[in-house]
Amino acid sequence: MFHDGVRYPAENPARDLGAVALLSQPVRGWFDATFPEGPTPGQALAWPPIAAGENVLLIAPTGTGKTLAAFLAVLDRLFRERDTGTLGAGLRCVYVSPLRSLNYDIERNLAAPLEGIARRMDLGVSPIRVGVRTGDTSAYERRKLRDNPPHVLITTPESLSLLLSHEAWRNHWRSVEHLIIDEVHALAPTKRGADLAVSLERLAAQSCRDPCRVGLSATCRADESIERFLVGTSRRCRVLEAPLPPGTPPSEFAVESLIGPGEAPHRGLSYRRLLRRLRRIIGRHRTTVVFANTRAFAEKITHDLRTSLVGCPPSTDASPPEQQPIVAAHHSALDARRRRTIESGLKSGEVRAVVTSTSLELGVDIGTADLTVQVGLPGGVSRCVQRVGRSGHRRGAASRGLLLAATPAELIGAAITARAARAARIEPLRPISVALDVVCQQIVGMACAGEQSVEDSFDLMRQAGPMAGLSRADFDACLAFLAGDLAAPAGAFEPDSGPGPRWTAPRIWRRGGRFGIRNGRVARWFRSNVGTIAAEESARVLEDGVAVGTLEALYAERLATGDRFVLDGRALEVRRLDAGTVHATAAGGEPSLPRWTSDRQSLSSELAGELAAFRSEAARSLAEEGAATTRDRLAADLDLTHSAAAVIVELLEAQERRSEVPSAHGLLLEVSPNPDGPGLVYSFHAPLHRAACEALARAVGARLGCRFGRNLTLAVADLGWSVRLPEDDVLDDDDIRRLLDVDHLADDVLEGVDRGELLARRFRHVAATALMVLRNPEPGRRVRVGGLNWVSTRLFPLVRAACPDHPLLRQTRHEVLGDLLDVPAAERWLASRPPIRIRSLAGLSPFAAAWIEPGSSDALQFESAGDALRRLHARLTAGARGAPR
Amino acid sequence: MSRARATSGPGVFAFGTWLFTPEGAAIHPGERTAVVADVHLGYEWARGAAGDCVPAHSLEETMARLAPVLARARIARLIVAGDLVESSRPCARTAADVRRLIDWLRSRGVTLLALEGNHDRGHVARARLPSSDAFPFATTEGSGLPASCTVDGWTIAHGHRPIVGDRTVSGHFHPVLRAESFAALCFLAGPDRIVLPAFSANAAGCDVLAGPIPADWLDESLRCIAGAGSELLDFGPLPALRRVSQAR
Repeated sequence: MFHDGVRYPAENPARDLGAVALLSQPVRGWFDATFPEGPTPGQALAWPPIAAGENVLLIAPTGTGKTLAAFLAVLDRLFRERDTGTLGAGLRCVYVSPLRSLNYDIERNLAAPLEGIARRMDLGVSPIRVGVRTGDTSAYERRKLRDNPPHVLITTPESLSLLLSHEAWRNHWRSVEHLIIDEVHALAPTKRGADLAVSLERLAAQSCRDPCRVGLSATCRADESIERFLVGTSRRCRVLEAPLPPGTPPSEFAVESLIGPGEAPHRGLSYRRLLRRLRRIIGRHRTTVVFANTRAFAEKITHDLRTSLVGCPPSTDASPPEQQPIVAAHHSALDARRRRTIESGLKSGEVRAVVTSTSLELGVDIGTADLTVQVGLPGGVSRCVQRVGRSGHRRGAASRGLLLAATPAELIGAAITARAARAARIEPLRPISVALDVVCQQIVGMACAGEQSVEDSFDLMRQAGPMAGLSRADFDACLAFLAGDLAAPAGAFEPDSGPGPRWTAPRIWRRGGRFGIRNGRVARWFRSNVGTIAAEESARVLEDGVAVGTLEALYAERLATGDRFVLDGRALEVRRLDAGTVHATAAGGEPSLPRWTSDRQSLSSELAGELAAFRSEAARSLAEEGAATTRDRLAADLDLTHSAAAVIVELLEAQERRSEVPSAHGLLLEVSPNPDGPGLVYSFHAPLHRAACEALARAVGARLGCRFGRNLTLAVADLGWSVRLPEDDVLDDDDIRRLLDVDHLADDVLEGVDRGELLARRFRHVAATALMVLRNPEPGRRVRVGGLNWVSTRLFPLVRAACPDHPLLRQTRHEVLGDLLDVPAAERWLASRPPIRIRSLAGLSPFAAAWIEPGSSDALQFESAGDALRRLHARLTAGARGAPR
Repeated sequence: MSRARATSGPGVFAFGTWLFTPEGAAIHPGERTAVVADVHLGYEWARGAAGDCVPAHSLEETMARLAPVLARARIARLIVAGDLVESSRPCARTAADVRRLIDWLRSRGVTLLALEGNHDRGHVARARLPSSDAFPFATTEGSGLPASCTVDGWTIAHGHRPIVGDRTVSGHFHPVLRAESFAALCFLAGPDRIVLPAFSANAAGCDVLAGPIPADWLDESLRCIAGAGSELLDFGPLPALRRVSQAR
């Protein structure tokens, strides 16, 4: 391992001159004329090592010229070759970014320097050709790129994987000298990143000299694993951390409450206030970016803002799609052309505000937004900083962010997040480790490119940073699955059936240490299903025949003709539904079905700990110094208005009155009657983030379920969880302490996971990434009888029965226990013997209602289906007895 | 509200001259006939043709579920009320599965009569399905699978098209009774019609409690008889049941 990880701490003016002086005359001339203020710190740091052929990870704040930092030294080299007459045809540089929209920006942003420099060389057109290859590229363009590759190829991880699977591209990789990976911080923690890392190794293995790698990242806490993600296990990497350009004011983070003191949280009221506040903000700024945590909420806000901003309710013939409204929704389910129109509208200033879920978090060029507004919590400091960084993209301008909170709990969360963001306490990235579903997809991709050696493929795969821990046994198991050689259910075939295929449609053959694809259909399937993004199945939406975007299929399935839903910020009415397509027409008026799904951002473990500590500290201050002093202190410490601070104080007071504020390290258990049915609710408050709470909730649920033999429901959130048990027996204190025993915790967590649906739900995504089931099946062959949940409800148990040790089952368990649940953190906390307080209450406490109850829920099964049906029978028929016959 | 009466083994529910079994079959002991619907053999091969790589299972599951049905009465004939196979263009492997099912039934002295469903109506289906004396329709010139047959005055058909007959037994809709955690197979039974649950576990159900259902099911004489495991329970008239469950 060679990681020298050199970090340059601060600006170094002496280097700036040296950096520009490195460039050849026309390039330098163009740069000086375009940027008279000189290179940004990032550019000055990056050019020399890139020119020297080193691998570089550049970490620099958003909007500080990262693109040129990466590209200019590469372009300079190509212009020099042009000057000496040695510039040949062929691919020289591959640029990969996670977003398609980003790619078009890069292409546009490269056009200016290329034309400018060419002009200085007295050339009519730039001698350096740039090409973009993404999922949106037309077949004609694809052919052109294949037959005559550009010098610089701009692409996405998925398209790169696709190109690598084409035999026709094999010779093109030979001449590649530079690989530029953008948004490393967004890729490294994901399966897309793991997939890209393998693709980069495959590309490098086919080029004549190992290409030098340049990684670009927004502010993140880099550690060795991020470097290894970029350069693999056997190369050195230089890490450059660039400060903000001198004179840039620090980012501003403000928090506002939508409710005032004395007001109970009221969804309708705070929503109307939210709209009013947003209208005012949008009116006062040139461009505003609003982040909502879900697509559905982004759509709803857009729709409602639009109808009210115009000043009149929409008529039945709402604005046609080509007419640009001043507020637009932007998310990945919108049609690509629609997204691009919105982006250019933002840049030109026609679109005054855009409401987005996550699609604008990355560096898509949206011009200069003055302000970002976050509705609801961003979850982590890094995401908060990243979102706020989308504004103030001019040199010398501060990024400005406003967090709007609709409930007291959100307000506390927002205040804590903003405080941590001002102090730049960015969470460390958690890089992805070996992902066997990605291994499967890459094996198929390799096989599509031609026959492969098993040994070489295994060695190559392990070169990729995230795959360093891949074991030979796991790799072989993936091969066996893809070849249809894994054990099948005993007796799946009658004894007389012979050694027939027991898995349908195996992907590869393997023989004598080599493997390859079974047939051309497998290559076709790979190419139409490449990628690792965990997407729900979706249905296309056509508005009068024009593509608008997509809806989740589970949502679309419930629609009927005449229903109104919101997409693209507009109410659309369903005209007709056919297989996978919703035909709709602009409806205007209020949508009848406003909500699709809900999704809360959970807090990072750091923020959850801070929040718990804050609550208990504020409660102590409240007890010792009184409400007025505490309010003033909170307002000063958290940079809040007095009114907002009073809202926080009121929540703390209410909790102290009805129960108590949990301590910073301990556990508070509140037992209260179940408001929605028989039995009790056990609300556990713990100073832990969601994943650790999820682990504990599973273990406690398993222990309660085994004791009573009854089905129960869990709700899990940040800072706690609850169990609804339809049983009125009250546990005594010793029983409760046993529920929280650290012994056998991991086993009971597993039991609790097995009794719920978490594994089955996760398996869907794993099976899709591994190409076990295709999201885009053979045209005309989609099997619909099983419904959308067939993979979870049928395939998952079938594979479990067929082959309990299947690599994809292991991958699923690994993800659930390692990513969704944080068992070690739960274990550490329990082992620290947190003090336990138990309260019996007449109803849910304010804290339980604020934090735990809105969490996501899962039902755990401890009864047989027959018992559960008998219970349902008793319940339903008891009610039906009085009904007329 | 009558509980299941143990007539032919535990868990069987008697409905007129029919016995409903927890496996999802309707048995007519007088005619020595069992009726099931929506078997969807070859489901995995259809998935395979679409590009999925999944374990083979539907033949084995079908036989495992049929064995207790056949043990409940002296059955000489199994009628599949439509959708014996999943795909309207079944492959050789589906045809082989059908052949194995026929052989398996024959070894137990049972003949198979498959009626036409929406999944097995294609010309290709008929051409690919095996021809044998236990499977006489495949040789019937041009007509393919028969659309219906009669058992003791009841017309048996799939139900994807209107059925002509005073009393009918059909499938096609896959009724299930879904609670928060499970889906129980479900018979709908009234004086003049019986709707059978899907025999295949692969068929996603039509939720009789909360889902959209055909308008003519909102009939006070249509009872819902559901089972999960070894017994069937009478949940009473469907319209009342929907009112109670949706009120909750």
